[in-house]
Amino acid sequence: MRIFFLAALLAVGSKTYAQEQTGQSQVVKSQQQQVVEEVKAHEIELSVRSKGTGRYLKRAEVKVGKEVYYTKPDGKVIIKIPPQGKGQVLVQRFAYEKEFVSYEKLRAFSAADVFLSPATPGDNEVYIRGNKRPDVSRKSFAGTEAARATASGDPAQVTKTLPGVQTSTFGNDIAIRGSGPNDSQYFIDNFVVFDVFHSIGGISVLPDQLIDEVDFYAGGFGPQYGNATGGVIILRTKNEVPEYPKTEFRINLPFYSALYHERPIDDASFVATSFRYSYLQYVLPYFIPKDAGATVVPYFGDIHTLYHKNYESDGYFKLLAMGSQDGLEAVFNYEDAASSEGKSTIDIYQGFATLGAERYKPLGSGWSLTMSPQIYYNRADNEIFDDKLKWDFLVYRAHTEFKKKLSKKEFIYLGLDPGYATFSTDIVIPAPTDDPFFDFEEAPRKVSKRRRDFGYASAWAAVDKQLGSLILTPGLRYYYDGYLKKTNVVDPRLAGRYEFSDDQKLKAAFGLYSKAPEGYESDSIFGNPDLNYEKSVHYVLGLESRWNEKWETDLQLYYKRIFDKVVSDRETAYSNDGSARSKGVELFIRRNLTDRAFGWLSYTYSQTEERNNDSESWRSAEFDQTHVAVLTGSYRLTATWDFGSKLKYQTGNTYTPISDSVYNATLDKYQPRFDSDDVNSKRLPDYHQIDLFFTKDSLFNTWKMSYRFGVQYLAFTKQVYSRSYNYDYSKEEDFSALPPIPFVEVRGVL
Amino acid sequence: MRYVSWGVVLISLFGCNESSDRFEQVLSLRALGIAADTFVAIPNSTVNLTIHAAVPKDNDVTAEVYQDAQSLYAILVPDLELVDSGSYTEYDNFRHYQLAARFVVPDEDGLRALGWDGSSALLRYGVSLSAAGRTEKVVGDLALDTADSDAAAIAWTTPSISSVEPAVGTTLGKGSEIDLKAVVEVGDDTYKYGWFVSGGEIDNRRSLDTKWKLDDKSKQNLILTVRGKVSKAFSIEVFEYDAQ
Repeated sequence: MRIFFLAALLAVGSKTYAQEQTGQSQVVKSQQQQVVEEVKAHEIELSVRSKGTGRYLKRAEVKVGKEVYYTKPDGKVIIKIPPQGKGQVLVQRFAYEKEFVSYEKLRAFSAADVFLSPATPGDNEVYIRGNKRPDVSRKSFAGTEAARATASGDPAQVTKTLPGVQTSTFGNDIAIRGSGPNDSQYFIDNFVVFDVFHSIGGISVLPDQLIDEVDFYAGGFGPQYGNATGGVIILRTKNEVPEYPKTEFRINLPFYSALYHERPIDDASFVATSFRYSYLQYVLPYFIPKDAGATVVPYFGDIHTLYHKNYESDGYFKLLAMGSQDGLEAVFNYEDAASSEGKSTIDIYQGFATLGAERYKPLGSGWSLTMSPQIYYNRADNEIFDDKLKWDFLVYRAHTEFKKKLSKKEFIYLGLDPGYATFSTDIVIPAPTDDPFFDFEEAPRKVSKRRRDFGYASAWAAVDKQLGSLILTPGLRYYYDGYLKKTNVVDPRLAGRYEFSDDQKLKAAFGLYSKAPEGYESDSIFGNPDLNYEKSVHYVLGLESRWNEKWETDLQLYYKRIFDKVVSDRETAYSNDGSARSKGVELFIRRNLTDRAFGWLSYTYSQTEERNNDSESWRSAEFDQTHVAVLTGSYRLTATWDFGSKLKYQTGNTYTPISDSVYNATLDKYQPRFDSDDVNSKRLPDYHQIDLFFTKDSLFNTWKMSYRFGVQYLAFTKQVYSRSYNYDYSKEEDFSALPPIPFVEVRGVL
Repeated sequence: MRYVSWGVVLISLFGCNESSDRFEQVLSLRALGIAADTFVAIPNSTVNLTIHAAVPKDNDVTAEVYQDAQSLYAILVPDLELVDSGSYTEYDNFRHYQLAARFVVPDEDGLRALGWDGSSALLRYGVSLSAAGRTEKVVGDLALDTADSDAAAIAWTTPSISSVEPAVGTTLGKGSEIDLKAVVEVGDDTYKYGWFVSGGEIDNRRSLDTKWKLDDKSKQNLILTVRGKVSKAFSIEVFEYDAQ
């Protein structure tokens, strides 16, 4: 492929040879000779640039015969070439292919650009991740690394490949160490969002160009995070000032188009903006069978603006404004909720907007301050069959943390996160139940239209204390939630790391993790206002090893007990009577990022059980996947070809077998019946999935086209998502997976 | 507050489900509906029910009382009585079975002992029908309220099926697809319609205006049921056609 990139690219300079006959020879010779050579020497200003971006390259080496020149910081150098005869100028630089340009070509110009093609990267330079606050179960990924590791190029997707994570076979739900999808917290920087994934398409709400890093905590995290019994996912926005403006447009088939632009404002600040919108709604109708009698219009979009400024020795400031929306409009024939015309309709809209500012400032004497005030607005407007679920949720937050450096490895953390929320609802929905075959058509309706204003706050304190090779981090987190009757909770937590050496660390954590019930669960109309916080105790023991610069492993054992778990209750709608427990072993083998290759193998063995009250026996939980193994990686074949893959295997999901059915004459439908001892007692066949994808760059002088293509959901055998049944539940069959889905994405980067 | 996973909705609508059973095809014992002689059960009142089913020719139905213990929302009727063993109306492709049953609504104390809180609720009754090697457990609900309640004062009406197209007596084409329409006199309720056929396929069995792709039988039967979503009112008509 390199033949494409070895072609010499020579741009025309603006000045003529005749106008440039003023150069002076640097060689001292006889005056006569000197005069001759001054006439003969051809002086030319050479600009050495990177092909594909047009970026000027400093310290590039330019050889003219025995003379050696180097480009200045602006990428330019003035060279002299013989006015007659044949020869070549050699231009070379580390990480680029050599380029030869003939004297004949250069003599025609007084200024010229030489574009160097990137060389096939080496595999020796390992990217080092910066030191962070010690946390037992955190995994961090550079945005570029994470983007290369996933078929969609979406860095946030890596969280679904990590130890401790169980995912549904279809959809975006993530269960972390036995805790459900709603039991984890999601952030963009220090700004809270209710989810980092779009409901349609599953991509993250932040484009990959804006993601600098992805942090994932499987549990045992410090007191800086709360209101979660599961894990924490954080997308961190970029903070490096780009050298040049960049504009990128993207067409992703079959999902969306995107436009991104970033530009430096000065040496210390930049602004980036992005807009994405789906066209799935225009594509999908061609794939829906005409006899399905259905129209389906899913859509999503998001918009972002990021401003970042670094202050010399005075921290940074960033401002993020973003909005995101997802929607689905559908009309179709559906037995259960048909109108008098025999049609059912769904009209779903959910979106959020947030404006957040973050200021990090060193205060002196080892103290620093990070303030992250945020306004967050979340809106839902859902009409599902004859029901509606609408809300407006407005939150003002003022996340603030002080940090004091005591020594190289010792810190004090003090944080406060006060907030004030306005929550308006307009709801008609079926009464809640945990029944696995809950029939929304049959359920009585709950109706509410109200507004609640309430304040909440959390505060935390932690200290890293070094005792020889041991670093202990005791901490406390306090919660106040004005939405609940029982408002005050304190979570004590303790983490420790024992460093056998720089490369071998034994780590452990245990602590209490509380989570407030969902708003609808503690609502006085829908739920139970007497609900208390859900509680969880995490125990984690791990061994982190760095075998060499490229290879690391992390082995962890965990046990988690969840109590006061919110479950549905026939008398009170919801109660804190539920409990769950989860235990497992996780192995993470990581090949660190180099310019050429990286990847990881994650394996999780776990058991998760739950029960609705203490008198019940334990049963497998919905997300109990005994074995989950993911092998993912990327390899740069050449400077412009990249290959990535993901292989995933997981134990089949649990499901509740149907033992009988009744014909409900009032509803004209059959309803399944099950044995209460059989809840989640059966499993679907084990699931596996293979994603293969390539990236190809076509380099032009000052811009490039990137093509990302591949196929997802490849499998050796037909995969099963769930069970399906005939109309009276007398026959059971596989609800099979979608066929492999090819995708193509074209990016133009200017 | 979290986002729902809408992909699951989509895939459930258009996923690769290989089921070929058709709800509307009456090929074995099939329950069709239950009519009650009242719209609201009042404590101490008697409620009379008629259970409708279709049964293959030359088969008799045996019936017994059934209690649906997994009912999530309704109070179970404690003492349902089957009045007789049922009667049959003969059609070319099946027998229309009608079974009379009744129950006395307990008094308020008795209802409270069953879990009633004195407000609007549902009563659930059930029978088990068996014929030709198949058993259908049939349940139904009826509104429960006090005599002086607003619910008891509503003057619900039972819908009536005025006409159907193709009209009875029309000769249909075997294997053809025909337009199917019905006119129903309804009251102040929302209604759920349900077509059943002796063979072939209904395009949308919940619509009064749909299509019927016939099979190759020379005698075709069509059943239309109408249910009031709130009143629980129920009507049923059976139609018979020749096909060539």
